[in-house]
Amino acid sequence: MEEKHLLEVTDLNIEFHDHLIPETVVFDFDLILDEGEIVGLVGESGSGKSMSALAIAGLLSRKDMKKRGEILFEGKDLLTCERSELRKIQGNDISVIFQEPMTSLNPVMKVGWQVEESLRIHTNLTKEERYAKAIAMLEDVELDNPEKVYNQYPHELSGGMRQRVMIAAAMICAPKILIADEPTTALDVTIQAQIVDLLKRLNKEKKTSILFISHDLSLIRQICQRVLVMKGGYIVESGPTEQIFNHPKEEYTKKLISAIPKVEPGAKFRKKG
Amino acid sequence: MNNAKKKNFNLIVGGAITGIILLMILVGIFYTPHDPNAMDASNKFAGVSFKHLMGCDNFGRDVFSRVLEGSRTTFFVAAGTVFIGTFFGVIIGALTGYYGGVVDEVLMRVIDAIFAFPSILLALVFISLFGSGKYQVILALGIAFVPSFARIVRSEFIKYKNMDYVKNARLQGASDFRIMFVHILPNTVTVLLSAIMIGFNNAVLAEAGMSFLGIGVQPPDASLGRMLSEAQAYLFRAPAYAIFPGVVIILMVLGFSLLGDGIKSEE
Ligand SMILES: Nc1ncnc2c1ncn2[C@@H]1O[C@H](COP(=O)(O)OP(=O)(O)OP(=O)(O)O)[C@@H](O)[C@H]1O
Ligand SMILES: [Mg+2]
Repeated sequence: MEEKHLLEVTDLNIEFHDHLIPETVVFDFDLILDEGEIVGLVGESGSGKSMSALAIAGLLSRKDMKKRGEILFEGKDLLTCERSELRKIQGNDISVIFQEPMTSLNPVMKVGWQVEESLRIHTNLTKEERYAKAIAMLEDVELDNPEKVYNQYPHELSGGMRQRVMIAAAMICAPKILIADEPTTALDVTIQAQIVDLLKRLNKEKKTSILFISHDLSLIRQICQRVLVMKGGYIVESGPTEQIFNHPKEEYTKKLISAIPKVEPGAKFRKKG
Repeated sequence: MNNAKKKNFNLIVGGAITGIILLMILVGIFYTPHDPNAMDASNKFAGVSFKHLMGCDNFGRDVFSRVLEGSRTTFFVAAGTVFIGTFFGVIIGALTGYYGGVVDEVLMRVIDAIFAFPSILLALVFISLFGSGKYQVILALGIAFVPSFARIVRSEFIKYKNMDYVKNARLQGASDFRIMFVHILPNTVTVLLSAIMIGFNNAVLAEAGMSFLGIGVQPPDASLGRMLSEAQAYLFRAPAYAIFPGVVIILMVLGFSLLGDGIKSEE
């Protein structure tokens, strides 16, 4: 008997057709994501991480891009299904948060409205029920004073707060998969740690599987059970996090690991000058 | 600081002038000192007096009453024109800007074709086909105004469609229709509003021009342009007859352009 996975991507190839010469940016991408799992995706800039993620989320336009392979979500192929089918899954079963919390929120809409948007699209809840859910969700992402934030506009919030709002908006329909594309890169270090903890907690409590994209290996090590390493559009290595960290097979992976700044025990207590 | 004050100045003065005009139109609906169409030969070219605040015209009709009624007609025609222009302009601009590709090519070529005619000429053709009158003028000018609105909205949609938050809406499963009119359109409101103000002015002038040429609003209906055209023959005998409708047109246009400037710089 074949085992059923929540998400199973096989042989995904992404080819751009918006220029004269077609350009392939992702080759033979394979990924398996099970319920409750956090899988990391690392690689240098331009290696195709975002493209793979966006293809899974169904954002890449079907015109300019040729995609081969299969993206099976609960047995349904997202690459070939009807767009209306895909829309039912987007925001409801699969959600995405981006790197830039500054530009990911609509500047002319109130925060609360934006958090509720997925509910408006995917459910028949009344205004009051939506409000209650949105407030609960804002509370869940550890924002103080959710009633106030609900009525604010994005420009009134800090970067960290906006990223929490983004997470709230992404999680409000309790999706089965959350794709987080470098969700902490634009934030400063202390906020980064808080957001990572938040994602970890949501993953535990709600059993949401997370595809965590980052070029920060130390973050990946903190939260991911498995890692995929990408380079130039190819997955060069994949496996359980600890195995990859302790026994990297590829030269490239070793380089990435050696590039992590090491904090030696006691180093921070060393007296300066 | 100085700049901010100037913006406020535009907004306040524009708002005040427009407010007065609107008040005049509103009052004119319920009350005019005389019947605007009642002729009285004994008052032919009567000068400015307490009884006739703006004097009388060549038929002895009260100019003030006719200005009240005429500004209503002119306002109605301009508002109708801008409404048609904005409505179809937004739909066409949204579709072409958002989808691009074939939709864009086809619709924009049609728009270019309409735009290639001067709007008065286009209206002329239209009037000769469907006859003249208030509603024909609105329709004719409205169609002539669609292209400029469509272009403005299109460029706004091109600007916004690749924003992260629009992608985000798509990832939440929002339909194209929802993305266009619920997520993107509110972002274009400031630009659209000032375009509406400018469009309104052009419509006031176009209506006046058409009525002046005798192809717009038909007698005995009063419109500001129509009155100017009639007054022209008596410019020296009864200058007040031409001056008052002219001044109201100027105030209407001035008020709306100041208001438009004010809104634009509020951004
Ligand atoms: N419209 C396009 N046409 C052709 N190639 C493109 C297009 N958009 C992106 N690419 C290419 O796709 C490749 C993968 O980009 P992607 O955004 O997935 O990288 P990434 O791994 O997410 O990098 P980063 O860490 O900087 O976010 C890049 O080499 C990029 O140049
Ligand atoms: Mg990326």
